[in-house]
Amino acid sequence: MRLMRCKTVKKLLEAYTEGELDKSRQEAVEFHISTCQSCRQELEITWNVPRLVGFLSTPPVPDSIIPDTLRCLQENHGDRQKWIRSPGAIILRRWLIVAAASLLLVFTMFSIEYYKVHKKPEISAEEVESAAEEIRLAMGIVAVGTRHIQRTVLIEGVRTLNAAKSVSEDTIQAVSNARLEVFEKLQDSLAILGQLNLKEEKEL
Amino acid sequence: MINQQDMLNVPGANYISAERDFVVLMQQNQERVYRMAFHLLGDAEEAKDATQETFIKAWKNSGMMRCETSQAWLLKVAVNLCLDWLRRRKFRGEDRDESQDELPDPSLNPLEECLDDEIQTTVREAILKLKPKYRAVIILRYLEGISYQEIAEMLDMRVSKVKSDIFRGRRELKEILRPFFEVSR
Repeated sequence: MRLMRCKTVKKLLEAYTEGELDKSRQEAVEFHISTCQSCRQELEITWNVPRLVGFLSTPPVPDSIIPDTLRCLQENHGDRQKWIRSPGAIILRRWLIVAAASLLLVFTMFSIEYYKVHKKPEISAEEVESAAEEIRLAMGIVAVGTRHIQRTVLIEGVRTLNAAKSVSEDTIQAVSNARLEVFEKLQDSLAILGQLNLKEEKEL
Repeated sequence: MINQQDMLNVPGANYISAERDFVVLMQQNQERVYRMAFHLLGDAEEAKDATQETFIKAWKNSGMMRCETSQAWLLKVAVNLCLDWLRRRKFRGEDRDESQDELPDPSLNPLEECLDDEIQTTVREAILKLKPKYRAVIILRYLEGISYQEIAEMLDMRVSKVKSDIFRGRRELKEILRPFFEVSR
């Protein structure tokens, strides 16, 4: 336990009497007081000060406090009521109401016009997202459609080409057949001509 | 309109509930509020004015007051009102002339149960010599028996500040009253 000097102990007496010292300081103060007459006397005075305050008496409460308070409240209330009901106040109030209503009307009309001219319709984030989704969907459909169209055109093209090829093949065949036929007829004709010439030579 | 005579003599007759409750509130609290104002301001007339002003403020702000906290709220209003008046009094240079106060016969023992009037005056004057902030916490703590926490809430201070002000106030009061204690030994 630490030892304290009188000066320190005297500074701590108020806190000690309030029970606000920690255990080690409380023990140190108590030990010092047990050995020091001067600090013991000082402690006694310290104890007595709050007791004296607690014993203080007060003069009797004046009886007029409550009635005077009520009168004051009534007068303030009455004055206010008088003002509220006076002709001047009534007229003033009516004019104020008319002026306030007119201002409100003008302001509302101005706001509407301003809105029409300047303000763009606000679009919410959800609407933007929804529109974007629809666009994405439409683009997908367009892409699918485009591919379909491309494929269709390709297929048709191939068919046409094949058809054309088959036509050309048929034509070639027909031409070939015709050439063969012509060649055969020519050979027949030459054969007949040859026979005729032989016959003429024999007759000669 | 409020009928004062009816209110004072026959509680509950001929007026609306809020006004009746307010009169009851004043009757229940006027002594405590007056006592605190008297010891803070040191003057009976000023204490009466401060008490009235406290009740008028209470009536005007009755929406902020709940029944279970009305007493604490009234004391808070009264303390702050008195401290404000003391500050304005000091600003205007209207401090009480304490040099004219005469100390009574110090041979009397201040620890007797029935204190002599002069001793009462001595202690009262000693309290008035304290700074207003120390005066307020000393009166609230030792005359009204209010806890550190409640005092802190009333004066809008930290509890640690309340404690240090109480200890310093007690030390100053002890020094002011020391001549009595030393003579009485």
